[in-house]
Amino acid sequence: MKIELLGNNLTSWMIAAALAPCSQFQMSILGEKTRHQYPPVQSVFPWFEQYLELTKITPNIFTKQVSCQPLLAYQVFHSDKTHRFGFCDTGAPLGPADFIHLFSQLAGQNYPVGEFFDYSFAIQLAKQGKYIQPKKDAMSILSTFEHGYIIDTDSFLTFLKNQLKAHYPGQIREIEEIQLNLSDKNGDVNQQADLQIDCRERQSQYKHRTIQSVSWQCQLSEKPQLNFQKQVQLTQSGWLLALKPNTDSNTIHFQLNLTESLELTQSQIQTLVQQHSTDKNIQAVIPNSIQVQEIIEGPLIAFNQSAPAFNVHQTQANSWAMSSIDYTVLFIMALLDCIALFKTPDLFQLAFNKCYQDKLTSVHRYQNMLSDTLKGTTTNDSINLFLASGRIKQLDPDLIQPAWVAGLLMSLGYYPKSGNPFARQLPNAQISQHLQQIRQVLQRTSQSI
Amino acid sequence: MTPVSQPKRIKNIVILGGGTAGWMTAAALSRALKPENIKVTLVESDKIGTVGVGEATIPHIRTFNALLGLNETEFMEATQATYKLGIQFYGWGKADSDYFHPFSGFGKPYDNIDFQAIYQKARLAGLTLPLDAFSTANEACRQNKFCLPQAMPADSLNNFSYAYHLDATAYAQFLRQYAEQQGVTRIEGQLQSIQTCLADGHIQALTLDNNTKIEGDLFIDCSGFRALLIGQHLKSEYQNWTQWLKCDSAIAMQSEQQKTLAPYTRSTAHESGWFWQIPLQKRTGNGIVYSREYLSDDSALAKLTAQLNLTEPNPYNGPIRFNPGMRKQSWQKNCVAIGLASGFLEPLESTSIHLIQLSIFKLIELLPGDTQFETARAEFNRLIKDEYVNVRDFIILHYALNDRPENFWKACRDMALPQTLQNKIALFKAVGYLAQKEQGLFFKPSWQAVLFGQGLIPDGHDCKADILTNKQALDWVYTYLSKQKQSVENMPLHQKWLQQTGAMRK
Repeated sequence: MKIELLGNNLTSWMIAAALAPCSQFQMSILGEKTRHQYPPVQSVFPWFEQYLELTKITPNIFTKQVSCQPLLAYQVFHSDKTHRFGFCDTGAPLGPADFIHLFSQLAGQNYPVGEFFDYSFAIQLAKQGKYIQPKKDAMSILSTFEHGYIIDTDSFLTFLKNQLKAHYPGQIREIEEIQLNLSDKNGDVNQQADLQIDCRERQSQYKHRTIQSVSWQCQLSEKPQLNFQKQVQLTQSGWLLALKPNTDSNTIHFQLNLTESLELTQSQIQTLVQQHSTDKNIQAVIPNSIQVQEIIEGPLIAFNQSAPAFNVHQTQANSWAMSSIDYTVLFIMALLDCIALFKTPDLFQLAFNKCYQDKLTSVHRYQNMLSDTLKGTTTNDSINLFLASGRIKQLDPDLIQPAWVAGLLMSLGYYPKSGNPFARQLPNAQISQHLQQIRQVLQRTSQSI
Repeated sequence: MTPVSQPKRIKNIVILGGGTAGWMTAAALSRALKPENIKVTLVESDKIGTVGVGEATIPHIRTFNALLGLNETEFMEATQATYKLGIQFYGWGKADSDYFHPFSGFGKPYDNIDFQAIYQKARLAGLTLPLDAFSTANEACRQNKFCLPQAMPADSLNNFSYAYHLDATAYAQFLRQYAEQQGVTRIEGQLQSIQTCLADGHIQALTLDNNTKIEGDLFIDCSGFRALLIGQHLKSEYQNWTQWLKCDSAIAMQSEQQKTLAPYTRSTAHESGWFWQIPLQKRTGNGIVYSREYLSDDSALAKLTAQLNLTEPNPYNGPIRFNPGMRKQSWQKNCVAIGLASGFLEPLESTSIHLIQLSIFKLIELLPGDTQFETARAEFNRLIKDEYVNVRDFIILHYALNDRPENFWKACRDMALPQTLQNKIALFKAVGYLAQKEQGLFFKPSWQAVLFGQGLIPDGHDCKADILTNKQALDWVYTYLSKQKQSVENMPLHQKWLQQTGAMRK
């Protein structure tokens, strides 16, 4: 089966890597190499490991050869408080009473219970700058969490190209000479392919170009304590994210996702960067590290005519959680799920759009929770349900686990209404002792790592 | 200004109606709640019979029993239960078709390639076996064998799950005993009148024919088809699905215990509906489901009698009339409907007890501390509706995909299907595509079983499987088959297993 990937960028190489283990797929990557507008350092959700599984790249090889580090927790600064949550369970139930209700009951009566995340093993590890690989053994505390990654995208792209050239040399052709006509559906491309996947960047297609985010890197006076975590801060301009590509780095990558996309001059961009680089540990903004990501008007298309298309620019969404790589991974998962339908374009489109959209919906719902909690929005159904009953609304499929959502909401001080019938029937002293035991176990275990 | 009642802490839950739904609900609530905090009262009358819904179950019932902490052997002995590995469908699709829907998947994937695609490629190399030949459960059923998956030797295939056939009336009694021990109060009597709060229409109390008045904060309607609270009193609208599910009547009749106990339910299609056959320890539960538009009650009774090789009918229950569909709102005001009061789907896939269980679990998950029910109610109604629709579509599939000549079946074949189901069939027909699903009932293997079983063979296969040649695919499926045969060979007969584990007395 001949597959043409239009556009020579990280997206096309990521797709190629996922398709390559199927030896019957012959792929051509068409077009000149383009430097992505992607931020150079990105974080990804735990389902990135499903992507690695598709590519047959083991996490071990990936972490050894790509500049990256595991991501255990988000650290959110808001109103002079630090909130932490991640991809993990928190606490343990007591009989039929969920931990969130136990915690809420005592917190509501001013018991000294500390923070909700004090009862999460993964968050405790992240706070101490420690990491240990999770395990699937349900009896182990190491099964209570998953992790994402923070990835240096240049290093990732180089790695993918090397992997593909080394392991699948006959399957992938890189044809740079072809000039893709971006305004046409197919450009000057070979019509002999069984399937075309459009990964082109489309900036020349649209007139209005505004800036959606700005990223830059800073040199720090001392090593930043940002191992296994990603910092998120809501500022007047939007989300300010801080990440380190790997644990040894003494540079820090900032990304400012603007709430509203703006037309900015170079000097305005410089000012914006300086305004957000005021930490006392920052020595200097690294020259030439400032990069803007534009958003270009256009629909979020999953299909361009009959070919699946990945709109790179739509991935520069104003998100504290989702990165371009996350969007690409979801696209690939949907593509591989439905690729068998390629000969029946209508059905392919029907299945692919539903599959892709369902995945996006579940992540967008999670993503919106943080903004809604910080803004105090009262119209979010999922949050209201949680407040009323402690239940996390689940979609089908849902990439976000209920425990992650509960961690986010509880960390931000959104506790379910008191009086849960199952928690209420337990004496406070018993609940308090239960919480104490959990803290002791977590403390003991995390110290031993 | 309309006065609105103030929210108050839930202290009393009242269940109207015993039977399977009532006592399952009472047992689960009594397990989770302490009576000194929330009192659970169940009102029922010995004068009113129960339908005895669903004698065949699906594996989820084991989660319910585990929640209660029931001992499996004791439970099985008390309910005359046998094990169940799936359902055999005979005469569905075509008059002579015969397939099996196991509680498990088929075959073994190759390098993340779904077995279905490998199977389809093997067919291109000449394989003629049906898909269900690659099911350990099916193979065991064909030989009337059973043992628990965890009891299989280490080098054998244990890729199957199981449920039970049980006496639903005995199950209700068993749970009654359990619930009463846990502090549930049972009150004998028939509903006479309902007292409501003028301000918000919430039910405040039930008055019985013996003048007993039972006050409550939350009422659970388990009064069966009569739906005394949710339907007759609160007028929650009923959504009718007869345009897709044409059967509206059933007659149940018991017969003697089978000589060899089958570890599966048998569903046999007839000219205007289907028969069920459920093996219990000491008897066999049988019945006929039919559409009165195509078959009279008398003919149905005669048909069932003949099906059981009887000259005269045994005592029977029925005709039972039903109206497939569900309440638009299963939870209205402060009343939650569970079981038949909430909706009805024919037990073709043994989902009746599961739908009760689902409502109970969702109620427990969402149970608020006080009488501000709005948010929990909306979510409960959404979840219940989703699952009913999901089960409905799956049941419709059995009717829609047929190649039988009778008028009933022709009408089923020609009816316009729900759009979601139409899409599903079209996608499957093209290349065997089935969307991933993670919640609720009926994942990919269930759809594969029925779609292939009813004769819908996809035009193409998943191209990812082309990593194998057709011949390699054929070798793969035969290697699996040989392993499966070896595994089942050493399994004991179902009956023997029941006896040796003490679930059935010799």
